[in-house]
Amino acid sequence: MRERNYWTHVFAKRLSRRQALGTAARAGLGLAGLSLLGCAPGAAPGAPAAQLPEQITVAYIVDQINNDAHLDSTIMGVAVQDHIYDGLFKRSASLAIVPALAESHRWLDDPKIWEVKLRKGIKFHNGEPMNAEVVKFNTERQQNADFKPRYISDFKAIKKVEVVDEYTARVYSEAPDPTMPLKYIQTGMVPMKYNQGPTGNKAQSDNPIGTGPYRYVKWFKDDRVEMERNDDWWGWQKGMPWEKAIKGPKKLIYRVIPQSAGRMAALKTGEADVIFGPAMEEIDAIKADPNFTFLPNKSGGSPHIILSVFDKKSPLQDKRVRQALNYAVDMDTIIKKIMKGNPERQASAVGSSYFGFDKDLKPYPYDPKKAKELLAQAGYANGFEVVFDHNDPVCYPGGSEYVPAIAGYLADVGVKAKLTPHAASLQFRETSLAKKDGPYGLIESCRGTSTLDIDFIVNQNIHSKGTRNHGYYNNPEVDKLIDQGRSTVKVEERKAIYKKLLTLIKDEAPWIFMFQVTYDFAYNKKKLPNFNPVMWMATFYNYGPEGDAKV
Amino acid sequence: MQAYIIKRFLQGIIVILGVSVVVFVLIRLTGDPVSLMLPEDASLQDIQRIRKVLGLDEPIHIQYLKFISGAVRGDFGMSLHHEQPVTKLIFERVPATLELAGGALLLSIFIGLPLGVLAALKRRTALDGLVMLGALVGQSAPSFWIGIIFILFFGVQLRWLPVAGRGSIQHLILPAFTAGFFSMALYARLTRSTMLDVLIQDYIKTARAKGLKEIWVVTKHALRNCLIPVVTVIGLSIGHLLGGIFIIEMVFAWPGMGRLAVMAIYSLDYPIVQGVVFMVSTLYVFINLGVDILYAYLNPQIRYA
Repeated sequence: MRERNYWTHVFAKRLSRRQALGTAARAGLGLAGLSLLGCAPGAAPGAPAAQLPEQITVAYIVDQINNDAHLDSTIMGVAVQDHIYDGLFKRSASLAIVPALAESHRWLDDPKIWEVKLRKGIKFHNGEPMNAEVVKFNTERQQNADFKPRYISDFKAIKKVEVVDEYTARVYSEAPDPTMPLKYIQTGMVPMKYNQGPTGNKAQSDNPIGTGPYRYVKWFKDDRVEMERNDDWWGWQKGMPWEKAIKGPKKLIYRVIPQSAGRMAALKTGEADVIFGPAMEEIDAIKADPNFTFLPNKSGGSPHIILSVFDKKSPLQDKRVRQALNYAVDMDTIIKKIMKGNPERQASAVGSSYFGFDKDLKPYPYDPKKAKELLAQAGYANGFEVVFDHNDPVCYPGGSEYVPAIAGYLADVGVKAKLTPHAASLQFRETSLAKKDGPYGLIESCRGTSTLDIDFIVNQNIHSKGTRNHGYYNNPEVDKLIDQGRSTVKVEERKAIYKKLLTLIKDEAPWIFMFQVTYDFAYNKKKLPNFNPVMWMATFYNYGPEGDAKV
Repeated sequence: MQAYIIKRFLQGIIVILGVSVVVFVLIRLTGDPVSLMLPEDASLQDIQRIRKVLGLDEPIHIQYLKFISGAVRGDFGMSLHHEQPVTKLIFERVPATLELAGGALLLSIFIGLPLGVLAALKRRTALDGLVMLGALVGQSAPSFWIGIIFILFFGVQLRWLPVAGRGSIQHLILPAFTAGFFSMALYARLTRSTMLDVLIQDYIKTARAKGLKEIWVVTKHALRNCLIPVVTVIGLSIGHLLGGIFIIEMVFAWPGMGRLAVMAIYSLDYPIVQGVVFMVSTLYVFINLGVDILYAYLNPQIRYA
């Protein structure tokens, strides 16, 4: 499934980190903020506000590129769309998969057929009914190559959609697909008749219509998207997943402020109530400020160091060497000192955001002595030299510091990692497509999917046939488990398979395992004491202490 | 005169072509946009197909010829990231940029000139010193830094003006002032020095001797005469103003074409970068050409040189 345009996030963060004189700016901001933002009148400190203000403004880094949910996978675009559209499922703030337009779903006895039952009586903003025909229409729209939908590759393996009755649809796939619901989280349902009118599919781009909690008002390109609350939203009705949520603000504005100093200034002045992606250097000041909350929200992204076995003569062919490199790096200190303590340590291929995560699996401890022993056993008592290919510009904030830190730890056990920077785009070309220019040793890689299912990570990155297996790791036993995991639709069975798989991957150590990064927000805690963002999305249909949907 | 204009025009074309070649080659050295567009699990076939669709599989000189033949017709191709025609994306953002540039120009003229005159009249006083110090800062401090300081002081500290975005006239003030700060300083300094030259001329003495009020001496006799070089410099500095606006738009989150271009650089969106640079350099060249011609018209010595 398509990676949720991580680069949009990433390059934007780079912008914010690159701004000149950020330190001076922040010093000024800190002082100004303390003196100028008082308490909201009447609200006791810490007491939850019963009602939200009429208008809330969120500041993102890069603008969306299209109003049509099927044509935009940018960070801000998806966040806006999550308010205008509903998928068959939505994510909750605690990352559960919540049935939204779907009421229930199941795989039939033939696991290649997935049946979904829809909630009855839901209407689009323009009055069109939401029914099984719409599911069929949207699926085919996502498969239409001429239309260039962003998630087209996710829908390749779907053969057809059958409309069983008005509220029941069956999706036929070429192989059993346990990740079927995930495809329909990121397919915001668009109305059928509306997109079959004179302007065709373009209608949705010009004036988007969904079933969601907010209606589209206007998009001022590169400046802001304005939305107004849809008071009749089905999700807030009795018995629905967001029944206990406090309705969001009447007017919701998503703004674009590319520089992090600008976003911070907007937060301080109240021009923005929530900002996405404060610069790493600003985090301490935000935490110290009584007016604001810093929120590192869980993401599905993580960096890791691939230990390439492409070169048949490489020391990295030896499992003991790969394990030694994991023992050699003090990852907890890197997290604490460089990453401000925000990310979560990761023991194996995936972190806790993912389905398939094994909480019992403990990460490699920092043990340089053991590392040296293992290296000696493998015949490298005096260490060795290796190329360390890393991303420049960085793929996650902190990269320019954690990469040299890792190289430093490796040097301590005698492994000389020669830092060689690569633009992400160049690295892709050279390591993945052309198997020349080797031998690669260590490759910094940044992986993440918004799907939060382990299959998307292991099948692409660790399976010997994986399209992103840049380290050419090849282990039939691992391959077998990955294949098993993706061919059954039974949840418990999958969990058991992945428990085995993650333990095996940890032991095999095809990577230096690192941590799961965060989507960072800073927000005005007086105005929004119960803000519940979902991953990178500043959502307002699930506001309130009990606003998050329970499954 | 005609020959001079034709010569300058042809020189302008060569400059534009030169700029387009440099940009075209440089941006292709920075990386592979296809890798950013496609998910990493894309197959080799997918990648080759996209390359073909984008015309990136052709030799670079063919790509360039295609680009330039489209460009002269106003067609800069499709944006890779937005999947829309570049011309459309640029023109959507031109009004914002013109608003900012126009605001900056007006502010710099209507503040810079009077300050220069004032400094000349009050020569060697504290006021003169203050204006010249301000001009020194304006000419030496980088605009993005000035912009951040303005945001912090007028936006965050004093709460007078909004810190980002476009909309009301209040939104325009800070970015326009920042963008015009350099030119303002330039105009103030130039006006001051020319004014000082003019004020010691005999005709000023005559004007004063015949009992004309000082205000008329300054505005009618002195200022008018010192405007000739100032107007030329204003014309020439518009290009500089446009260039500076790229940064200002980033700092103040101003939704103009400069920001479009900067963001496009980060996403390796060749067509947008090429389109914007081509348009801005064309504009730059033609403004300079216009100023040259105007100057030649005013001063016959130039055209025969």
